[in-house]
Amino acid sequence: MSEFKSLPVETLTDILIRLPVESLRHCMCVCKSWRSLIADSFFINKQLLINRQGCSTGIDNRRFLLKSRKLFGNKLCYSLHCCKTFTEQKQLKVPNVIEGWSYLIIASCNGLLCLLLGYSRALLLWNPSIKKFKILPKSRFQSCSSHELAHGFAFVPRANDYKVVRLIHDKVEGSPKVEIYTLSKNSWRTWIGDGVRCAMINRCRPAFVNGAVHWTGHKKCGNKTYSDLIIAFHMEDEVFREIPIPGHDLPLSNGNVSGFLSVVGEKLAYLVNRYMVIEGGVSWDLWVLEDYGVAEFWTKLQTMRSHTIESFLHPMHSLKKGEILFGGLKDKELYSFDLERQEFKEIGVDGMQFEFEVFNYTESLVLLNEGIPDSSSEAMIDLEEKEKEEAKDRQAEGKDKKEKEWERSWPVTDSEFVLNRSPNHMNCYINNNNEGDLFSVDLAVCGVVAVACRDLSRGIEAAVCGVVVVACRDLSRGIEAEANV
Amino acid sequence: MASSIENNNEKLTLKSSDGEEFLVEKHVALQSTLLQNMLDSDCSSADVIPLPKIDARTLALVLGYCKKHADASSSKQGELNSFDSEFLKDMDMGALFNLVLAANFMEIKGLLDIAAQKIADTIKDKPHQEVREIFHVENDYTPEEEAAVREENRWAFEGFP
Repeated sequence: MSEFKSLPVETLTDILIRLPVESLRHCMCVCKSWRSLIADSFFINKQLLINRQGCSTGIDNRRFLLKSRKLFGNKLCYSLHCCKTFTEQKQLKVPNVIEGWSYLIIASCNGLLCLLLGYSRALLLWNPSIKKFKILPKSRFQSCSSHELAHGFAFVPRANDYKVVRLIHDKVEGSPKVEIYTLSKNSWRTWIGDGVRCAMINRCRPAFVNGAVHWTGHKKCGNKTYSDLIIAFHMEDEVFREIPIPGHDLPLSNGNVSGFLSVVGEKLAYLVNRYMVIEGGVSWDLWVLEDYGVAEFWTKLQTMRSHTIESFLHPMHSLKKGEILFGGLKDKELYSFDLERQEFKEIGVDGMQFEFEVFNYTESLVLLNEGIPDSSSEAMIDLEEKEKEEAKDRQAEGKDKKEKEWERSWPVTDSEFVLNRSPNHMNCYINNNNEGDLFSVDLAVCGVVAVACRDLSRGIEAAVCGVVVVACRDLSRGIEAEANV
Repeated sequence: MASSIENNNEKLTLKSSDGEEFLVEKHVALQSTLLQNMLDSDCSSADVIPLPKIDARTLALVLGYCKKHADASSSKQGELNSFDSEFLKDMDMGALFNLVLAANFMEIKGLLDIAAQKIADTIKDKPHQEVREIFHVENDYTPEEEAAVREENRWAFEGFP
C-alpha cells in the first residue's frame, strides 16, 4: 500500500459528493470536520448538482419517485425507481409526522417535496431521503376551502433560496391574493403587483419550467362562459403572465378541452385528450411551447395513440429523458409513452395500486440544517398545534360553518349534481354552491368503462363508472361520495 | 491550441516528485488542463516540467490514462468506458487516493471523476469506523458526542453495528 497522504478538503469533497445520501449521514459520524463539511451549504449544493446530472461516470442513475396506494391493505407507499428500467430501487418510509393525514404533494424540487395538509392547509417541506421536515409558518391569508388555493414551489438559483407562492382566489372574477414564502427568511410576505383576473382550475400539478410556475386557469369571457388559459408566475422576478392554450384561436366544438400541463424536453407542454368514442383506445395530443418568452407559439409534437390499451389513461408526469407516464384508471397500471419510439408500454408495478403520483426526484441533503427529524416528537406536537390553532381561528371567524355545511352535503345525491356532458369530458358542479365552487372539471367519460379524473390542486378525485355512478373523493378531507346520474 | 494540433509529434518532459523523468507526447499532455495552460502561456516545451506532488508510480498511471484518452477517437466511448473500469479494477485505496490527488492537481476531469467515484463506491456501504481507517482520520468526537450524532442520523444506521 502506498504511503497515505491526507486529502485536501477540495479532494475529499470531490469524493464525498458522489456518495448516496444515507452513506453521507454515516460519514457525518466519522469526525467533526467531516460533519461540518457535509452540512455546509456549498457541499449540499455541489452534491445536488452531481446527483442531478445523473452520474459522472456514464451510468444514468436518475430516478423518479412513485407515490401509490396499494389496493389491498390501503397502504400508502413511496418508492424510488430507476428512470431507465423503471425498476424499484428502494422504498421510502411514510413519515410519522404525516402518517394517517391527508395531504397533497404540490411539487418536487431538488429532493424536497412541498406538501399541503388537508384540513389546516398548513404547508410542509419534506426531504424523504434524510427524513427531515420543515413546517412552514402560518401564511397571512387563510382560506376555508382548498378549492380556492393554488401553490407553486421552486428553487430560485440567483438567490440560492427556495420559494413557495400561494394564491387565494375566493372569487372567479378579480385577482387572487398572493403571498410568497422564502426558506432563508422562513417567513411569508404579501406580494403586491399586477395579478391576473382569473381563477386557477388546476386539474393537474403546476408545471415548473423556464423559471416560472404554470397553472391552468379559467377566465370569464362573457356571461357564464369561461375560457381556459395558462397562468405563469416567474419565481425569481415575481411577475404574472398569461399564456393562451394551444388551439385557443381555433373554433372548438365544445368550448372546453381537458388539458394537462407538463414539461417535455425543457419546454412547457400541454396534453389534450382526444378520446375516440367510436374507435376506442387512447389518444392524447402533445403540444409544446416554442420560443418561450420571445415570439412563443405552440407546436403539436405528436399524437400519443394506442388502440390496444383498454384502460382510460391519464397523463401523470414526463420523465426528463423523453417519456411520458400515464396512469391507467381501469387496470390500475402504470404506462409510459416513449416519445422517440412513439409507443406505449406497460410498466409492471408490484400489486394492484391506485392513487399513483409520479415526481422527478433527486436525492439531496437540502433541509439538513433547517429541518426537524421525522422521528422527533417536536414535529408531531408542532403540527398538532397548528391544526388546533387553525380550528380555533375558523371557529372565531365562523368559517367552520361553511365548511360543515359543505361537508354535510355528502354523500351527494344526484339532484345535487349538475353535469355538463359532452363526448369527451364532463363538468361536475354541486348546485347548492355558487358557480365559483365548480368542484371537479373535466371528467373524461367514455360511455362504457370506468373512468376517473382527479383535480389534484383541490385534492378531488372523481370516478365515473359506466356513466351511471359518479364517485367523488375529496382527498383533503377524506370524504367519499357516490351519486347516480 | 492550433499549433498543438499541427505539432502532434512534439514531446515534453515531466518530472515526478521522486526525480523520474517521463517523455510525453504533447497531445497526450493536453488531457491535463494544468499542462495545457502552461503550454499556452509560453512555457517552452524544451523545459522539464516538475510535478513535485506526484510520485513516479502515480504519474505513470496518469499518463497511461491520458494516452488512452488522447488516442481514442470520440466515437469509441464504449471502449473508453471499459478501459476506465479495467484501469481502476484492482487498485488499492492508497493508489486511488494518489490518483485523485494527481488528477486534481493536474486538472484531468475525467480521471478525477472515475477515481473519486471508485473510492465513493468502495466506502458507500462501510460503517463509519471503517471509513475512518480507510481515510486515516482521527475520531475527535467524545463518546457522548458520537452517540448524539449517531442518534441524529439514527435511521441511516438500520442494519449497522
